Amino acid sequence: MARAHKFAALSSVFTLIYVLAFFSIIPVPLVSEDVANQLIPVFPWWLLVSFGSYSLGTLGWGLFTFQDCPDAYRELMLEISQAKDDLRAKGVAVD
Amino acid sequence: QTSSDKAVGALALLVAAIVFIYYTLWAIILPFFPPTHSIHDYFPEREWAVRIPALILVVGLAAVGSFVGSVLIKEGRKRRAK
Repeated sequence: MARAHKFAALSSVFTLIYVLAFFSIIPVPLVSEDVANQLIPVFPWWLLVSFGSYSLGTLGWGLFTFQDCPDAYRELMLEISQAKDDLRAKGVAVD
Repeated sequence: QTSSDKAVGALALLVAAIVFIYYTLWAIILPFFPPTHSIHDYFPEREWAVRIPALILVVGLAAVGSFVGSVLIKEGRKRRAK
């Protein structure tokens, strides 16, 4: 839970800063006001698109680098059928 | 099989990279160029940089909501039939 607290705290701070900049209460440093007015509305959407790309990218990378393990597969299927037989014998409706 | 998995994974990674780079250029980098620069010819108008993700978000949430709703309805019917 500590990590979630830390994440929530940091996001609240950045959201507050963003909202203040959105309503022009605080100025955006380093860029001209014209450019800032173009960047600020787009920023949350950019975060969303980046998150989506990151998710899709890590998914793809995981798929690409996954090593097949046939022994583990066979062992797992055996364990599953044993568990099903066991539960069926005890009266649980499996499958 | 593993080879088609690898192909799908590589394709997903490539699509994610292209989308991220194109969108970052469009949303974050283009405002720094003067409006007359030729780079703007490679991108649609900037309000679409907000409309397209917003549309995808709405459609995505609707799809997730419909799926959850249909599962709940099916479960409710099953429970009433018992």
